[in-house]
Amino acid sequence: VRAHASRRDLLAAAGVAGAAALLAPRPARAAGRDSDILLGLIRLEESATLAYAEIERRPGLDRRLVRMARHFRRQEHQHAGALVEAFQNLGGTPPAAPTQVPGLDRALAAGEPAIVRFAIELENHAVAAYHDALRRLDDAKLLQIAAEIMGNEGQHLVVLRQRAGRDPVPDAFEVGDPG
Amino acid sequence: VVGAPRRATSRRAFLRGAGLTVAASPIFIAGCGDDTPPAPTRTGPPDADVLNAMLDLEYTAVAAYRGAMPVLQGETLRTARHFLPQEEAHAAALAKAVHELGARPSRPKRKYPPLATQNAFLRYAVTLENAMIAAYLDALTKVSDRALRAEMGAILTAEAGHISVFADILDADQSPNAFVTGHPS
Repeated sequence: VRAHASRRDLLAAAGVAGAAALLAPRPARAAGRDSDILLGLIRLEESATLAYAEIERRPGLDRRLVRMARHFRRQEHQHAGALVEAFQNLGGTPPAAPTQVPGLDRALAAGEPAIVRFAIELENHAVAAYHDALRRLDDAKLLQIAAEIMGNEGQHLVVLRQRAGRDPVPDAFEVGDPG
Repeated sequence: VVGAPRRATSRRAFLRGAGLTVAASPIFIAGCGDDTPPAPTRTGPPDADVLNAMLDLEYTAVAAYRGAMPVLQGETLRTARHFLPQEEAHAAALAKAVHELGARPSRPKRKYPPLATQNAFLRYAVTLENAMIAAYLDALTKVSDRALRAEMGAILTAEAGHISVFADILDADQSPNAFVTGHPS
């Protein structure tokens, strides 16, 4: 069983009305545009936090995989926290946390290889979203935060790809995969 | 670098400079429309100067990888052989972008510090990759061209991946900080 959650699925689960909502430029004021971008990223980070928490809680998984999920869950939570703070500074009200992540249950049921593939897709979506955000954000501080998080998601990808027996850094330009 | 007429450097041109084919990714397509918001007015060094500073660092990385090859072995050698063309691709892309801006790309220096042992290379490589990350973080807030910003993020993330692989070789935490700043705690 291939557990597959597209970027569109993830974004839909995050309450974003289709991937285009995150990707399409908006004719809003700069701060408003930055807020919109942050909102999409917060939802992605919260979905990732939830996904790693579910992996961490799944009984019977290899201890190293559980440790990795715990470590990554804490880092995704930190990302979400920083983004929420920035979002609030722009006058935004943080969204409700997601209660499910599309495709995750199937991956959990299918076992470790499917879980790792699912996590790789999750991280690829995140890197692609940050890559897009770097082109669209206006605020210099937000640009830095986004790039710092993007780098960390890239490191998660390295660990996961190694676990899947893949090339850890296949490309000179890590742009993720929007799915 | 002498200031020169500036024009937008497209992602397509940037990647072409690195010898890469632009994939028709939805992200890329989404980013190519005419409705891309205009870059805000910024003050600071011209984009070409920022890019040339990054180019100098990439040349240093290329020289370090090339120069250390004779003393490397096993997994470290395989890793260095894999990463060297990536650093060369970064340098090529930056040089191309500078050229596209109508300025003259930096040239590699004649000499770089020798690395006599594998351990010296690993220590130097991690330090250098971190320095590049810190520099890219600073640089991407200074360039006015939005496509260049995103590409700097793509390079930064690849460099963060390099550090993660070296950390694995050194049996260290591969993702020690939630925010990759180039200044590891």
